[in-house]
Amino acid sequence: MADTTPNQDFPTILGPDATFKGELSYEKGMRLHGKLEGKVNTPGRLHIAKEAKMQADVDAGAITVEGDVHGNLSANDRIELKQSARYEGDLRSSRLVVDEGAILVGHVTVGPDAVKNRPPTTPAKPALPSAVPQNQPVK
Amino acid sequence: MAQGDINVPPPDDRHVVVCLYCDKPQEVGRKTQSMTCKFCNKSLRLVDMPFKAYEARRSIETCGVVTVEKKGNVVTDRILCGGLVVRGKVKGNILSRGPVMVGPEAEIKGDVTAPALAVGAGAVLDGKYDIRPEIGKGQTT
Repeated sequence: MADTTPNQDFPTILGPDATFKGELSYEKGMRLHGKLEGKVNTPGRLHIAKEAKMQADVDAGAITVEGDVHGNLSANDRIELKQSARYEGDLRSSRLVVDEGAILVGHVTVGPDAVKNRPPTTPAKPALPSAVPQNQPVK
Repeated sequence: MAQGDINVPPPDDRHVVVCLYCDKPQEVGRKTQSMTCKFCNKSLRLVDMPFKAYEARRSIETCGVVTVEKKGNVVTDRILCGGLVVRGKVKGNILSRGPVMVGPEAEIKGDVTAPALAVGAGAVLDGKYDIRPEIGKGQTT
């Protein structure tokens, strides 16, 4: 049975009947059993359990995947794809551990410099101010 | 001589090989080193290929297992193989019909297509990966 009780390593749990949409940040660790869509940002760990479904871009310290994941993963320390993992997206990490049986489709960049040389993620730019200020008549 | 006297090897001395080019399976003797695919008539190597030093090749093709040892450094356009073990360096695209094992000090630069992948922590990888169990099973008909 999946461990759905909070502990010291994983104080945050998103339960099997929960769905989260949006941007999520936390410090230590999170275990995902439900559905998550959006972005995850953490210096800690993310564990995606077997029954979990995630469609998100993740920037974390360490990521373990056992479930279904779509999106880009980036980890400073390591990414682990367990036997039951189904992953589609681009992966960037210092270390990668893939168990036999895992499904992986996407671009992989792994190595000590992989995370350092990461292309900067550009935040959504505000619309450029137009040459002609609005609400003013054109002369 | 009666027809029944023909020396046919028992079934346990034979194994199934999937053609690297047409994906069709066929039974061959375990000791066979090379053969011609009975479906597409392409020549197939069945031997394992170890690489222990630098080697640059246009392509490496075998139904056996390609092993790149720690001091091995293989530069090639493509590797078509029945399985791959990398402990050294490989630069080139890989299509393996069996599992790809990557050692902790290995380096692979190129696209990898295989039914299974096992990577030791510390390996350096760069490329597009397509790892799905249905790859390399071959056509049944």
